[in-house]
Amino acid sequence: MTTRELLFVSLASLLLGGAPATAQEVTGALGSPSATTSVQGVQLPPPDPKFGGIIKQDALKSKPWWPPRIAPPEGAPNVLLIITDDAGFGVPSTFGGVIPTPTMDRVANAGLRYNRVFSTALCSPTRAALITGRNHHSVGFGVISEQSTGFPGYNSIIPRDKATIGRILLDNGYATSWFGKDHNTPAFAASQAGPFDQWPTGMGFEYFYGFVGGDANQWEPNLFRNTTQIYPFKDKPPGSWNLVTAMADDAIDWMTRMHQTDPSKPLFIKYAPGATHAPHHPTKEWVDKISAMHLFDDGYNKVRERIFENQKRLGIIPANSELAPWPNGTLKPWDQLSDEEKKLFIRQVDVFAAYAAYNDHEIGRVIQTFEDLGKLDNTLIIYINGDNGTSAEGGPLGTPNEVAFFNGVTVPVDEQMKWYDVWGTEQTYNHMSAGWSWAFDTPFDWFKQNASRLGGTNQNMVVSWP
Amino acid sequence: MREQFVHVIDVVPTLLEVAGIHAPEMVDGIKQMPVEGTSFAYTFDAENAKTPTRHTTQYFEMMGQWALYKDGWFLSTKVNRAPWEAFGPANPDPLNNQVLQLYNLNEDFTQTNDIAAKNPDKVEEMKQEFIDEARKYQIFPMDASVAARIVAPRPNITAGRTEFVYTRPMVGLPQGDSPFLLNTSFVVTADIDIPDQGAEGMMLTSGGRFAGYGFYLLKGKPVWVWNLLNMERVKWEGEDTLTPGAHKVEFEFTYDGLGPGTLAFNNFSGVGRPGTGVLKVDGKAVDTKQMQKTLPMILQWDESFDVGSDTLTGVNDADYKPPFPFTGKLNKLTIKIDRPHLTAEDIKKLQGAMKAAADGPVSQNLTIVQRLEERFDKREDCRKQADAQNLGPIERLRFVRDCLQKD
Repeated sequence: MTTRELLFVSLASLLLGGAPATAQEVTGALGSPSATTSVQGVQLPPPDPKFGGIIKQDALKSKPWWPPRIAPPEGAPNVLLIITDDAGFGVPSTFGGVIPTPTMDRVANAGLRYNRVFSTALCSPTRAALITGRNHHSVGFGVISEQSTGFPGYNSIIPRDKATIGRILLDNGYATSWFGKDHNTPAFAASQAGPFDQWPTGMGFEYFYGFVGGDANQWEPNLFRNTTQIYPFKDKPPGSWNLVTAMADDAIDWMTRMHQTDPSKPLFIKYAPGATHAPHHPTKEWVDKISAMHLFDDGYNKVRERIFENQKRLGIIPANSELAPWPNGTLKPWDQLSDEEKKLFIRQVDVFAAYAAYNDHEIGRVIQTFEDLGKLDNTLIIYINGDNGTSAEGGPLGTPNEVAFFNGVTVPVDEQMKWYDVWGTEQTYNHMSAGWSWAFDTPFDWFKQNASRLGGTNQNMVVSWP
Repeated sequence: MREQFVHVIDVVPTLLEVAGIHAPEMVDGIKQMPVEGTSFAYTFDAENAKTPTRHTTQYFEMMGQWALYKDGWFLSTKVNRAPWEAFGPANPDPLNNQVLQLYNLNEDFTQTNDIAAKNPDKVEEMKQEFIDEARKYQIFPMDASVAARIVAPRPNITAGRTEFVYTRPMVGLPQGDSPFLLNTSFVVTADIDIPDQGAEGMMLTSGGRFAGYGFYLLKGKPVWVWNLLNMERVKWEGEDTLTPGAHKVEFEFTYDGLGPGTLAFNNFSGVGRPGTGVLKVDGKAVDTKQMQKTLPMILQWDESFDVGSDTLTGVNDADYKPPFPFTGKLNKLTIKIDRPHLTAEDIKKLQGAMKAAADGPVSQNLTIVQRLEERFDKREDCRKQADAQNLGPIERLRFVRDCLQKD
């Protein structure tokens, strides 16, 4: 487009009559192949525009008129909406945590930190609220779909009178996509028999690459591209392919493809990694790197105090904040653990921290691509740490197998030690001890699921805004 | 740094505001309900750094634990269940059967100073406001159950069906959409042809390395395996290699329990019970085993139900590597499910137990608050006793439940 003229016409001249006249932005000469228009947005999809050319009996005497392409209003930014999984307030270094999250730091330094951002205390409820702008019960997600019951607040069916942000932006001319975890498709409508209206692609996200349920083995996930299952890891040696990297690669591919195809079209990416929900599956490189930092050797009580001091020092929390006493009756203090327990728990948390750091690093590659494509200056980045507090769904001892937890089975420490060396590899579906989860929710108490405590709901967020 | 109250429901209106896009009134001809969040785009301006939040009221509710934020005040229920205590009887009245706590988050960032006792009127007022929010946003009926809901019936496309037939390999059917073989009796029958050179491979599997089952031929011999959480594998195996030609291989499982129906009575006694499996070849039993315990809740959520091969992880790494395709001819695989039903007598007993569990060890002479506290103390005491005995969670929950019912 060589000249970009912006003019305003009334809706009535463009659309079928009846709707109130509101300004719309049109670029190019209406009827020409390069014309675009924003939509008034009251009715989606917008009604077809009225033909503006001339029709005679033969084409030579007629005048063609192309309907304008729909484009968002001038200046509408690209949007990168990031939400990580099962991570409490004290996880990222950006908010005083001990786990390095340089990508989040980078966004914070270019923009703003928020310390009072709230979730619903559980995964898919938060995600349903995030994409609809409505409360979780309002959109059928009072709990996760796997627990759904036959009541409007709990049936895991997002109603049609509450369209998602994906749908709204799509119909307004955005390219929309979703990477990573879904968990807003009813578990009972997740098969190839459909219906697909509540899959990401049915909810206005034109491209989906990720998993439909609540958790995924990152080494061999139940992975979908749109609604087709794919197995890109097949025949690759164990440990050589990981979804955290693969989804970043796929997001980079997608945004580059969009950019190269139509650089003017704004992008909306919902980026929802499986990290750091169990199973904690980072690459060996990251486990080695984090283990070598010895961040956790003095135990969860000390780590909690350290995070709390960091938070005060950085001004992340008010200087007069108080730290609740350690819940001795619920979680054994570190100095009362056996040597074997300490050894196991440190391994568990090193792997968790590696997973968090690895995930933040890969998010950094996606943001870097916005910069490389020259798009960063017109991109709104919202990076929310966690869809709820840190998970305690491994119980006080942690587990090599989260499926055991959901069947009510605790794995004793000596049994867990059998998996010590392979912790976090494809051999485990691992979760850490809840002592660490408590520490990662500093300065608050309790966990994911506890909607009445800030440890369950008080997340944090960074935003950079062009 | 921004300290305004922001909730995840505020992201959508924020995006619409910055993009200059209206929230639609109609989508696909359906009138839209209002967006419930509040844009936080105002916080982007430096001059609004300290502006009071525009999101002034917000409820929280998750599995019976709840809270209300209003203008800095925070009314919240005292935690009565750690997340890993998911298998006990649920709080039967999550709205009222609670100890309420009150905080002023403007002065108490970390929710550590409970000022409920000094502000009883505020507590009552905010509870009423929570109830208003609950009516407005479909929070009722409140339900404090956790694990019980996982196995509760839902419109799984298998609901109401008892027979499933597969005549061609297919993979990738998710857990929530496939025949569910836990807590029930069932028969799987494979009608197969073995070629002259013999056959191996997977006929039917669901789940994977971390929990699941598999029905396969290993070096020509039939196998059924239950993978119990990657900690134990119970395996049925025929001694003889199947000869070339047509065969009927069958696994029949008889479940010895009341089934998930007990969960409707706040009771876990029907799930995870023992059962007996019989592996048959051409109608003749070749291996019979009893299982002392079975999986009560789930297989592996991210693994699918596969016929004719095994996708993602395998259920028994010692025997095979996926995809382990079936190399014979699978003419027909049939699953018949015979779910347990509660008799009138079972229901009567369960109702009695539920009443006892809900009443707990309470005295008529105490106030509601005292009764609640006493009940929680009692529960705490029972939990401690359970801890001291180092019980597994299922045993533990039975112990705690029985303990609570004692005076």
